[in-house]
Amino acid sequence: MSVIRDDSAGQGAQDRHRYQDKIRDRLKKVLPDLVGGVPIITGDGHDVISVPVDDRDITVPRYRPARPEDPAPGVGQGPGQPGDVVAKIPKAQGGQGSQPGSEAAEHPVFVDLTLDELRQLVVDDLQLPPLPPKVSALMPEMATRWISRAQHGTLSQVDRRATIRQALLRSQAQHRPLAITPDDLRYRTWVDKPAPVTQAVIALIRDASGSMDTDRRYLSQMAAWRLVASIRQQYPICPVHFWIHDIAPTETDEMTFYRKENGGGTAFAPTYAAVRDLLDTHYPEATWNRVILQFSDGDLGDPTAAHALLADWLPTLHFFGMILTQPSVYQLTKTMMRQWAEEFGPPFALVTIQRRPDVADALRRLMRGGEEVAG
Amino acid sequence: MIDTLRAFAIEARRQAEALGMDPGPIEFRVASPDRIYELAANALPVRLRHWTHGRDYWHLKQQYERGAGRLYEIIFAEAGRHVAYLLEGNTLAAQKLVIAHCQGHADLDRHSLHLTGQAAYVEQIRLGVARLADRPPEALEWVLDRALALQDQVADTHPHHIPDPAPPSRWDALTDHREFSAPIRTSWPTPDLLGFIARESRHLSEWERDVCAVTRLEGLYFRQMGTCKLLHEAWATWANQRILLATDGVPVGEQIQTAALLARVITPSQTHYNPYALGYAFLDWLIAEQGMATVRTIWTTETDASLIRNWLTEDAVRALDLYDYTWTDTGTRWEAIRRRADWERIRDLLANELAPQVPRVVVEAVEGGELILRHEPDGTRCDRPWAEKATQAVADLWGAPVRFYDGRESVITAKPTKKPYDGKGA
Repeated sequence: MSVIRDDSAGQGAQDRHRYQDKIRDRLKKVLPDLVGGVPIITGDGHDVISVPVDDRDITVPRYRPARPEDPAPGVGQGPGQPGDVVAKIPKAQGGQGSQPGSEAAEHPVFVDLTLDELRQLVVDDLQLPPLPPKVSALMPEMATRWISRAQHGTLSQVDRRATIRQALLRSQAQHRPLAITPDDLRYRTWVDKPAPVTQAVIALIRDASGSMDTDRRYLSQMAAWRLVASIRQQYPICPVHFWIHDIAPTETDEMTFYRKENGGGTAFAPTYAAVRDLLDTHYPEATWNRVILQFSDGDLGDPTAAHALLADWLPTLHFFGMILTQPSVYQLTKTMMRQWAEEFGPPFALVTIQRRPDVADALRRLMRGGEEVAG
Repeated sequence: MIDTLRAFAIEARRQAEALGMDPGPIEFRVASPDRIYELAANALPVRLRHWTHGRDYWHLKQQYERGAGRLYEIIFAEAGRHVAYLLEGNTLAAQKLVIAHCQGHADLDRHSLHLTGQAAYVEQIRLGVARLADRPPEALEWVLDRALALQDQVADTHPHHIPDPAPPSRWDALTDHREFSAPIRTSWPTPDLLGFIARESRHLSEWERDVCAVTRLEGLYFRQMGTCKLLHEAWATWANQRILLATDGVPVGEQIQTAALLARVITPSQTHYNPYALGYAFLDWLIAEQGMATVRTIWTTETDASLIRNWLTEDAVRALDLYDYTWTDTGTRWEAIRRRADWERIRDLLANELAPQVPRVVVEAVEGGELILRHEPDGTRCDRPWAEKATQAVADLWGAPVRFYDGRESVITAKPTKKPYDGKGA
């Protein structure tokens, strides 16, 4: 008789991952329903979330008895009288379905994914075109690259390979046996090259006025975290800021950003000014790819002021995505947004999302530079 | 905690032996929930890798986390000993209950006539898994996807090692020009479908047939386990009850906890038998009626179904409060109505329910390479869509057409699909 601790790991992890591969397509299908409850953008990548999957048909077939058409009689245990009703089940609607004895597998199974795995799934699924890093003209960051050779330097920088090569070339030319002279010594040295800016900052702006109802907020949320996930894929350093606004802007955390609903009107200009101020203070144009993603239903309170501000601001931005969710009632502003898109051109891009299934497609169009203006 | 448990394990074994049991050595391992779910999903200490075990892991984990059942212990027979896994984080009282419980499992494993091969199967499967460890995963999965479909269709009628497939005899060459000729070392018809393929399929390479052979061993192991579930749980529950009563290693507070745990486990169910509740009550009743010596003989020689068939008398049905019910269609729903007591009907229903519900599919013949299967009449039909897929699996492994007869007029045919990889590979 012995009692010991067993910390060994079996093959289980491999089997579980293989299974996750098998249900990958289904995981993608449930992704739209996942966005509630968890801060997907700001959450720790190791956080685990449970994803419901209906996997009843993913199994190995077997020879098994056909299920009887009527539920089968059975045996129970306990006191009672003949005639007692010991169980009730609702009849299935239309043919096959719930019967006694049909296993507990009626529940979807919850598969645990880490946030990182989930984000990867989204990125793989979306296949958004990359947002190429800019090479800043203003104040290029210099990257030191050790690609040059010099005849002078310190001993620690001697490039032995280049030195031997030089010695070989020289002694061959002079028809002498190989020997290294002080003149043969070659030293590693560097050159400075302008480096592309490899960090990005994303500011998410959402209209939180009364007109952004649950559905529109949901669309914004779906679009927001997909966009952030794929931009982050490309820029490892990528802080995200969440702003909501009615007539005045507020910076919030992620969950508030998704959920908050304020009453009242809408104005873009104060928000643009506030976000611009934040970016200019902490994320100078020279060293950051500055990305703005704005979610709106097209209700534009102050078109003239906003237009002026934007026109001034856009040249300093790397990308400005304007995502209109269900803007149907604001035909007028929609038309105006299109005029903006036409007028500004890149980095301004405009896209409209009407329904949940359209999100992925809309985002791809957005990252390619927005909708056909003529459309 | 481990030291306390160690002391208790020694005490529990002493008490078990005082009760006339012979559990033999048991190694207790305290393991993480992940490991326990994994073992429960595999249902074997070591098993060929397959994604279905990953799937079962999620289902089990979720089931236990929902509170549908708390997995307290898993115990396996291994060479010369038992290995039992205890869930870390359980209370001391629960661990002691489990340690006492395992004495009963180990005792029955060692002495039941129907469970003698368990440790040997585990060892052979372990060797098989080691043999096949380096095979390419995608190839292994292709074979296993199909072999697992036939895991119920196994029988212990052949030696465990797989010889090379039978070479065609001299005369076959003259009489049968087809690629396949009837293998010669099978007594027809054989219910050992998977074993037949493991021995005779010339379409599969040697290691692929080995995969089938190991899968067959797993199937034989599960078949044995499946016949003695109720016996096992009843015996183990009875053992832990007696051991905990007899020992003074359990303080009063823990006694209350263990009693509460036990009460939860042996609560009867209204619409299906709870093996713990029914088995425990039946065992208790039978010991009172027959005495321990007789009951020990009964418990080590019967299977679940034969126990009920042979020993569930009219008195027992009354004592255990058993009844049967039928479903009535009320238009919008089904209602289960308790029937007037008829002990023989109850006995038969229960015995049938406890027998393994596995269609017996036999290999009848090989005709010109084509494999002929038949579902032996047992009053049921096979689920047709599933049978079609399973038959397809047979065809893929056999490498030639397969015909499956289910009843007089129902026939399923399948043609093999191509292996997506080079079968001789790696």
